[in-house]
Order: sequence, then structure tokens, then C-alpha cells
Amino acid sequence: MKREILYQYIPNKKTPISSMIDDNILSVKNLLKDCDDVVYRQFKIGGDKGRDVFLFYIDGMAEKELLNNFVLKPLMLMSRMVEPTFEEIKDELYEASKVAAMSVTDFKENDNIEEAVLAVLSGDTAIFMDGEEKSLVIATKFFPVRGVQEPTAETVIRGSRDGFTETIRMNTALVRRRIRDPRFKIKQKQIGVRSKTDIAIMYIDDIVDKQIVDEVMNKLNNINIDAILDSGYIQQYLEDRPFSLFPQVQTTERPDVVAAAVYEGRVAILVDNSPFALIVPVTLTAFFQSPEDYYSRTVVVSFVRILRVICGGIAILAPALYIAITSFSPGIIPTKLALSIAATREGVPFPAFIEAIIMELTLELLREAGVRLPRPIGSTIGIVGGLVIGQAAVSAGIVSPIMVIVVAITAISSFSIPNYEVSAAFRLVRFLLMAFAAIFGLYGIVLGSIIVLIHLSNLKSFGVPFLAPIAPFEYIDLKDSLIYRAPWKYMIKRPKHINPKDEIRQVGDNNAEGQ
Amino acid sequence: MQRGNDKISTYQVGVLIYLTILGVGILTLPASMAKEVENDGWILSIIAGIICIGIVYIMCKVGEKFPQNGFVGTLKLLFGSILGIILAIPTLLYFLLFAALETRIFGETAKIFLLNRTPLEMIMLPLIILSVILARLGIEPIVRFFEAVTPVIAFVLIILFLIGLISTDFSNLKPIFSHDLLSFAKGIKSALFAYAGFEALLIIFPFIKEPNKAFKASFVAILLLIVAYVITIIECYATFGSKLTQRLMYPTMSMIKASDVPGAFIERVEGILEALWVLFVYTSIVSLLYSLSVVAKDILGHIEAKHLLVIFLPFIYLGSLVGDSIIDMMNYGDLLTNTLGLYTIFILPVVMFIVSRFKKAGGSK
Repeated sequence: MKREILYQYIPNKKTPISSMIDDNILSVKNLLKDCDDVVYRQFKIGGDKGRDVFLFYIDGMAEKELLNNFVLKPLMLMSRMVEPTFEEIKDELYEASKVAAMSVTDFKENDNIEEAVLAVLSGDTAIFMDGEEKSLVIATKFFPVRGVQEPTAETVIRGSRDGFTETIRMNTALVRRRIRDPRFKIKQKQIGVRSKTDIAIMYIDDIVDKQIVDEVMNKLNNINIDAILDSGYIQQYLEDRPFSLFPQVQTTERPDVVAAAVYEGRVAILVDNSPFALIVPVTLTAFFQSPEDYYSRTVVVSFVRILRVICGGIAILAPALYIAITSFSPGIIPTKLALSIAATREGVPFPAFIEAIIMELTLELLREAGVRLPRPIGSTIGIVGGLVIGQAAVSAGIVSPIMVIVVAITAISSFSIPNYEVSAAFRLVRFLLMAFAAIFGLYGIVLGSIIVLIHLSNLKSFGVPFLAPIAPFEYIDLKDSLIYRAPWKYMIKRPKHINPKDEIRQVGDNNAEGQ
Repeated sequence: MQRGNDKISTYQVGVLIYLTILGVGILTLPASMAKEVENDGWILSIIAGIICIGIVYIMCKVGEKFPQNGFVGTLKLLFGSILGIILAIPTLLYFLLFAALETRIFGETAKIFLLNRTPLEMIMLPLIILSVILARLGIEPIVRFFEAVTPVIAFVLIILFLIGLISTDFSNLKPIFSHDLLSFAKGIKSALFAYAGFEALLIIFPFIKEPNKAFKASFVAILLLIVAYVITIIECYATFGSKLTQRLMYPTMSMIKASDVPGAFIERVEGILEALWVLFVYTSIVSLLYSLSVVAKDILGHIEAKHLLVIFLPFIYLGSLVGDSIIDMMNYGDLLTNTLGLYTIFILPVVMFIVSRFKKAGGSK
């Protein structure tokens, strides 16, 4: 059952444009009543006895310069100075002005008022002419935009510096610049009954698995919300498991990441007003990869990837291990270390679990406060949190110094995971494991990990298992996975787990080594 | 790659079989082998493994002939509806009790090596509940889980074998071939049950993408298991000598305990190994429970397998509490393997194989 939003301006309603221009003006002004940012302009072609023409646009969204110089000027003035005269082409005035008078590139024709109004609301200009049952829409979109800047969330040392902006046209252009292939498709649609937000679905036709595109389209078509303000809205409609800790859609600010994903057979979705593109399907391994991985050299990249996996492990496990070892099996660590931990914990009045929770929550607080504060003050948080609280908490005997070290290592490790959303998921998993460690010790940590792993094994992103290519195991995809990235000349095939239609990425005889 | 069609690849079959068999058996195996034939234990284990491969071959022949019918379906086809169901019921009991037994033995070892003060029930209950949760999800998530833990398990095994090498004295292995065939024949039964678990192959046959390759996968899986078992047994004998090994309850763990890793940061490795051992046991239990649910579903019909598991949950728990001590439990275990185990693993496949020879293959849907 599709939800319908009660709304007078129903998208399906279509009022035909009448040949009486006054009727049209009336219905447009009726629709746009009290919208004081609309500019109406009425004029005549061919002097006083000429034909009535009416145009309207939104102030601030349309390019006035273009309208003045290339629409109004030719129609009002220049047309009177050249042959044929107004009298001669009286009946074909519409065609003549379209073909010969207005020197603008982008035209559209409409036959109903609502479409014209919608176009105007997106920044275009609509022109009505007396006696015509059509309107002309001139693309005059020109509104304040942010320029292309370096993305803030995904910084790289090696790699391109351009990031997406809030304008969908600029964003599609940034991707198109990297894919000069007619088979690269950008399908556009508008979602949001009121907001009419532009959505672009991008894929390469002969690589992508059609089922993924169909599923994306299907899910998008079922959205019937009033407004889409950010790609985060769309993301939550695309995910099968909205309550899962793990994102089943990848977000990125970088056009090179989108281009690479599209070349692998994934589907990217751009949303107007959002600098974050969405990529589906996605697997856990993708969240451990940075765009830089593909530009740097193999050995270094593989080392960094191993480092990231270890960091992921530490970010999840470190506090839980601290709890399990101090309160259940101190015998596992060397006696000297066990004794020194016990000595530092002597003055601490809490059990290890409470101690760890206090410190981890403090860390979360510091992180959240650091994000919210204005940048100049933000650095104060580090000093207050790191130095003052850490030092003072230890000397006050609330936590042990070892705990402070554990928390610090955990924090640093979780920051080294390239994807923000996954590192957020890991933070929550950490608390789950801490609780299990407090009940069952090391056994509890394994039980907690089993719970997380069950969930991950069951999770799919657009039909692709979330743990691929580890599970289901895909030998060929190990060339670019958690710990290894083969040199480019050995990555002959596209990742198999995404199920691309065209598997071959490059042709050549350089596949003799490095398998 | 296939999409959500409940089919598992050949590699996945291998992983499934390997992890199903690999459970608590490896913890006690060196002792039970030493009791039977002393220093020849590892030879006995190899012989038992080869016999198992033979039985797997028989199972695969039956399975290839009726790839879509499933275990109970094939039984019904071969013996008629009623007799088929009657023949399947012992298997059902076997899976239930075997899962309970695995849980119990693991619970006991965890109590010794990890959680001395935690009640046994509290160790076993979360394990059973988590097993039911995964087994409910169906074959695809199960094998994906198994594949995901495979690297961890490989890592644990390698560490185990390396640590086991430290205090070995290989002269302890002598003499070999000191026993006659009779004692080998006597000991073969307990050696065989170290490989118990491959009977899951009977159940999962309808889910295998390429049934004709199932044997190859299981063959490799059992071959790797023979290697793992033989290494463990030899290392245990080399460390303690077979005389001492047979007196140990969990010789594998004792071997780790006795080996002092030079310069290691971790002092008691057996604690960590025992914690990671949960994965070994967990995969076995999940696989057994899944087999249980499929058999139960086929017998009862019309009820979804995942709902049945919830009904079975209390019985698994109660089953795991049978017996006051681990010795009692081991005796029950022997009883189980002697009756239901022998029936499920050896008698039934052989009977099915013989009868299926006389049935036309056209019987498969």
C-alpha cells in the first residue's frame, strides 16, 4: 500500500496551457501566490500591436544576465530591426523565436502549467506566448554554490584533491570527467513530493549487475516522503537492515572513489544538496580501504592494510581484554606485568568493568564535544580531556594508568579506520564486548565476537554478502581485500563478489606472475 | 556468485565438513588413542580417517543419485514413507545428543582452564543459545560464518602445533607397530568417532551447488583433519610418552601447558587457546543443530526448521546436563557412539547405499 501525502499541489495533476495568455498568467500567479521571490515580466514581441509574451523566474536562482541579453533583447528589440518583419511571420512567431531569436542552448517545451512552475522553482525560466498551448523553459539555473574543495572527511596524501559539492550538476560532471564512456549512465529522477530533490543514479551499463540497478530503482521508486534534504535520507531507504550497526551503503565525498566503484560494477547515487555520494553494494573490506590504497605502491599499501586490520581489532577488543585479563585470568600475562597492574589498580575503588566504562564514556564525550565545538575551541578539548582529565583521574585514584593507556590506544586505533561510519559501529561493538568480558572473561569476548560475526554473516548489501570476499571465499578477489592489494598490472579481473557482467578489467600478458 | 538461493559452493562444503568434525575430539584424542594401542595411536588415526573417507564416498554416491530429495526424502524413497521416518528418528536423536555432548565436554574444559568459579550451566547456556541463533538462519549464513572463522581456526591450529613442538622428544615415539591387528580392530571404533560429524554431509546434500564435487571437497577436508590429528597425537606422545598421555584427561591442553614458549609475552597460552577453542566447538554444534533441524523438519513437515530449533533448545540443554561428572558424561558419550552413532555414521549410509543400488535413479525428482 503506497502512502499518499495529501497535498493540493499533486504532482500528477496537469493543467493544460490555454491559448489565452491571461488564463495562464492567472493560474501561474494563483499557484505562486504569496511567493514573493518570483519575478514576472510581461512584454510584447513586435511593438505595440505585437504578441503578448509572459515570462517568470525566481529571483536569485535564475541568471538575469542571460535573460536580459539573450532572451529579452532579441525578442523585444533585435527582432524588430531584421527581416522578416513581424507582420510576415505573425503566425509562426513561436517557432521563429525558438529557432532564430533566442540565443540560449538549453530549451525544453511543456504543455502544462505545473511542469513549467516546477522548472521555474528549480531555477529555470518559463515563457508563455499568447495563442500557444505550449510553454518554453529556458535553463537559466544560476544560484549561489560552493566551489570544489578538498574533502574534509576523507583526506589523502596521494590522490586527487577535488571533493563533491552541494550541486548535483557539478558532482555528475566531476564523475563524468573520469569516465568518458557512453556506456556510463546517469539516470536522473526527482524524489520528494515537495522538495523535488534531484537524484542521479550512476552506473556503467555493460559492467553493472542489472539486479542491483533494478533493486536500487525499486527502492527509490517506493520513496514517497515530502522532502529529501541529504543523501542520508536515501541511504536509510536503501538499507535492508536499518537497525544494524553496520552501514550497508558506502558514503564518500570523493569523485575518484565513485568513479572507481562504478568501474568495479557498483552503483553510485548522488543527491542534490548533499556532498556525499552513496555507493552500493558494499562489503566490510571496502570500509577498510582508502582511495590512496590504489595510488600508492603495493608493499606499502599491504602493510598499511594489515595495520588497519590490527587497529580494527584493537579498537574493538582492547578494553574488553583489559577487563577479562584483570578480573578473570591475570595468569595469562607475565607475572611481573600482572603484579604491576594489580599494584596500580590497588587504589581504584571500582571493578575493572566500571573503570573501563567510565574512561570509554569520557572518551566518547571528548570526541563528541570536539566535533560540536567551533574549530578554534575544539583543540582545547584535547588539552582538557587528554591531559587534565587523564592525569587528574589517575592521581585521584578513579582509574589506573594502564586503563588510560588502553583507552588512548583504543581511540587512536579507531581513528585509523578510514570510514567514519564503520568506526562508529566498532565503538558500539566495543561496549558490547566489554559487557560480555565483564560476565564471562575471555570466553565472553569470544561469545560477543560470535554474536557480531553471526550478524555480519547474515548481512547482505544488495545481494552481496557483507563479509565477501572472505565469506563467501573468493580466491581471485584476495588480490584486493583486507590485507593485500596486488600491483595494478596483475589485477586482471574486476572483483567477482560484486558479480560484474564484464569481468575483464584489462587485457594483456602480464598475468604470468604475482598471482 | 550466486544470490540468495540457499546453495553452497564446493569450497564451502569442505569448510563445513572440516569445522563440523573439528570439535572437542582433538582435546581428548591422544589419550583415547594411547589407551587403545599406545604408541601406534597415530597409525590407528590414519586408518580410521581412511575408513571415514570410504564412508563419505558411499554417502556421496547416495547423495549424487538423489541430489534433491534430502536425507529423509531419500530414506522415504528407499524404504517407503513410514519405515523411512522410523529409520530417520535415531539420527535425529543422535544429532541432538551429540550436540549436547559436545557442549558438555567443552563446558567442562572451559571450567578447568578459563572460568573456575562460573557454574557449568552458565558456561553452556550462552553457547547453546548462540548456536541455535545461528543454526536458525539457514545454511547460507552458517557457511559464511564458518568461512569467516576459518582464518582464525587455521591460526589457532598452527600456533597449537608450533607450541606443541617445543618440549618434544621424538624418541618417545618408539616403538611403533608393536600391536597386533586384533588390538587395532578393537581400537578402531574410538578412533573413528574422532571423525564424527561428517554425517552432516548426508543432510546438506540438497544444498550443494555441484553435488558431484562434494566428495572431492569432503575428501580434502578429512585429509587435512587426518594431518591435524596425527600431528597432535605425535606431538603429545613425543612430549609425554604414550604411557603418560593415556592418563591425562585433556592431553592436548596439558601439552600446551607443559610447553614454555621462550620469550613470549603471553604466559599461559592454554587460556587463550581454550577461549578461541569456543569457535571450534561452536561450529560443530551449529552444524549438528542445523542438521537436526533439517531432519526434524523433514520428519514433521510443514513446520519451518528455524521454529523447530527453539523447541529443541531445552532438550539440548537438558541433554548437556546429564551425568554428574565428566567421567559419567564420557560414559554416556560412549553409549551414544556405540548405539546411535554407529547407526547414523556407518550402518545407515551403508544400508542406504546398498538399497539405492537396486532403485532406479529415476526416483529423484
